[in-house]
Amino acid sequence: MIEAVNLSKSFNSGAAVAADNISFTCADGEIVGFIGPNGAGKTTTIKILTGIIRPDSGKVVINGFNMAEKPLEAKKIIGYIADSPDMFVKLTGYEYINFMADVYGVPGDVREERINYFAEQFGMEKTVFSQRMTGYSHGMRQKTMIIATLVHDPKVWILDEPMVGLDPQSAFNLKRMMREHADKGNTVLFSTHVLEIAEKVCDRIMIIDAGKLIYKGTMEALKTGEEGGDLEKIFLKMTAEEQA
Amino acid sequence: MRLGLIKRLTAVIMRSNSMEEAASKKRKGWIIGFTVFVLLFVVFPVTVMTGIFTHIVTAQLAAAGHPEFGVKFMYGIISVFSVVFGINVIFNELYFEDDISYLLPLPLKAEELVLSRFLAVFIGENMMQFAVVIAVVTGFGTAYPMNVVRWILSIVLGFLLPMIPMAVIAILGMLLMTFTRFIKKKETVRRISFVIILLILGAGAAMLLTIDIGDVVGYIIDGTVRNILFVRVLDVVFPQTGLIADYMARGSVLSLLVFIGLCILSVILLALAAHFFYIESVTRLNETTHVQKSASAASASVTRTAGMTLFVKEMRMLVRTPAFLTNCVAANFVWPVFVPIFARIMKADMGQGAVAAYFTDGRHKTAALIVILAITMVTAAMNCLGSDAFSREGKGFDYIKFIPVSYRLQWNVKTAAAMVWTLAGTLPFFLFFVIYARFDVLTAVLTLVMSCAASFFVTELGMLLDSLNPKLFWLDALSALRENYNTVFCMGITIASCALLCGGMYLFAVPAVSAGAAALILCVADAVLYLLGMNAGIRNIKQVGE
Ligand SMILES: Nc1ncnc2c1ncn2[C@@H]1O[C@H](COP(=O)(O)OP(=O)(O)OP(=O)(O)O)[C@@H](O)[C@H]1O
Ligand SMILES: [Mg+2]
Repeated sequence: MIEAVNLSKSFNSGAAVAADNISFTCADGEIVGFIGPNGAGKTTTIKILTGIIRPDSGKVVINGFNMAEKPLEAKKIIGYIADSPDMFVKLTGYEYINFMADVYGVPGDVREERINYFAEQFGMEKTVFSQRMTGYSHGMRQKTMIIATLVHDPKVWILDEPMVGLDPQSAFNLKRMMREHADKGNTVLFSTHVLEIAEKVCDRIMIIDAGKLIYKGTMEALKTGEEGGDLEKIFLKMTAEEQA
Repeated sequence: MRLGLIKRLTAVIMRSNSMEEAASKKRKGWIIGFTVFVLLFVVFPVTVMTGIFTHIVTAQLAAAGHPEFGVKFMYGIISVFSVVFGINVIFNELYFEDDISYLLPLPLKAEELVLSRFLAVFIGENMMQFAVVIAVVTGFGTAYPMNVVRWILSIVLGFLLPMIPMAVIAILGMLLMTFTRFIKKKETVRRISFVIILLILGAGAAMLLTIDIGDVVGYIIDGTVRNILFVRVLDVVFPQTGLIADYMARGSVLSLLVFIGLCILSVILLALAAHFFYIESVTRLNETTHVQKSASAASASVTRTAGMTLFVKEMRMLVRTPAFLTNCVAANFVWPVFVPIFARIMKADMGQGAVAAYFTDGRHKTAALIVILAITMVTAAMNCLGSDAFSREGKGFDYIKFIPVSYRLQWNVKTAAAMVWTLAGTLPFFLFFVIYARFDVLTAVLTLVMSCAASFFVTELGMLLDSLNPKLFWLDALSALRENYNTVFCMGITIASCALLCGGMYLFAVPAVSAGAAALILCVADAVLYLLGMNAGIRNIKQVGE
């Protein structure tokens, strides 16, 4: 469960407000989609949730652990995928996955099993993992990042644009994995620009614009009565209203 | 060729190579303070010494009819440094900076691309050596009168000094990349350029071996008369230094014109070489960067503790990133080369008996301790393992914050990784003196403590500085180290504190006392720095990117 309470964050001594008094809860068993235009504050909010940046005010609680007070406990619960997969490319896939598994204390036999499972889900030859990531394509890196993140079986998934670069089959499988994970009583929060993805897999969505949460709730509630239920039109109208 | 475009491109390249703006006012204050410090305690002394040296040599040789020699000699040395640093930097700029792949698709001519990158390097390198060039001109001008025009032109010529050698390197580099097929990966070329640097250093060292006279000024004066090898080689390799010196000493307009002509010619040749060879060679290189295999074990069942796995990761990144391998790892192992060279220069008898006998004298022993301390500290600062500990992470920095590992442990792991390489490179000296020169047990133990404490001191200092404002936005690993203020500040503070310590040690005649005192002072300083790191340093890390 993710609880965000009155999160605010501005950069350059208040010149740019990236998160403006944001509060929400992502319950167990739920997939929440985080959508908004470029520069709206999605990545910033996600970085606050994962402990990468501290909010100017407000608090983050992950499964009961306050990020400011019990950071290590909170971080252990999260699996986080950054918006760019170009990390540690000098390592081989195995070395990177092992690194993450060691950091989160995953036993050897368990990780072997999980790597096999994920490699199959993503259609990756395991021999690829013996090569350095410098030689990987963008999608292969993204998949390796996802595997390394999920190898410790985190309760809370926080994914920043996880579908970017994935082929259709892998994207489909990732969506199914998110569903399965949530159905086991865990929490999934991910950001995306692709409204169809949000529409298909999310139980609830949050729309952020210029640092403010302008909508949170179920897809159904959003659609009823408005614009004939077309999410794209609703989204464009809402963000345009906010700009005005 | 569109000159305006080249100018703008150069400016863009230089900006993207330089360090990002310091985030807050507090950090800006720090940076200004340190810059002043480095200027005062590093640049200023070196410059003044160069000036005085040139002045003395010129004054003495002018009487013997060789007024040009001091300038020629100094410019020869500066040119050697241009080449040594130039190889790495130019190769990198022309072939390995990642932004090349963004520039290649643009409608730019090859010569525009190459000239702008070349200019960026030329100006960047000149920033560093121009102060020294001014010192040489001043040293010369105060010993041997020049009129105003000659003063001004001398300074201009000094600015152009590295132009020819750097253009030649760039041209040779392009030819090498075009016509040799054995270079398929950028890693290979980086290693080769590193070997070339070592060869040049080795050749320089070998030539220094021909020196058989203690005092340097006398040696040089003697050298002009006897025309010794070292000077002859400099003359042949860098003929332009002779031309500049000739103009400064004799006002020879012919030399002036020939030099400027050569500069223009080298740029034209560079443009031509770029026109014919650059695009082909650089695209070929880009095609092949993906071919990379690693023979590492394909198993996932090796488990490590969090600290150990961080340490292993740190080591792998250091060893596998060529820029880090050469500048941070290999740099530690250069020093041992100089021991036999110094021995030769001092005409010392290197038989063990003689060495042991020599070091029974307390003064000599203390001198040895000072050398050990100085080498340890300078090596630790030079390898910048501490002062780029966080800069090295680059875009991947965020992982430090989201993994569930305490900041303290991560800090300690970085310290350990840095200390391992520094000590691996510097402890051989210690062993040399302990075993070969038969130091007594007490002095040996105290020296060991002193070495470790000194290495820790510099590492911790560097990390503390780097945590303030790490340079995270780089595309190419070498630019994480280059123009990184943190490494410069760290070097400045290290040299200053090393000078203080060494000066202090020299006052004691009893080696065990001086080693013990140095060890004690360093340990206390270490404790203070460590506490600072554990608190202020970690606070800084948390602030990065906010
Ligand atoms: N380190 C930083 N320094 C200054 N401003 C920043 C920083 N990080 C983000 N911002 C600003 O905060 C705002 C929100 O950025 P953020 O990256 O969160 O957007 P986003 O919603 O993830 O956008 P995108 O869809 O493009 O990924 C932007 O205006 C951005 O300029
Ligand atoms: Mg984003």
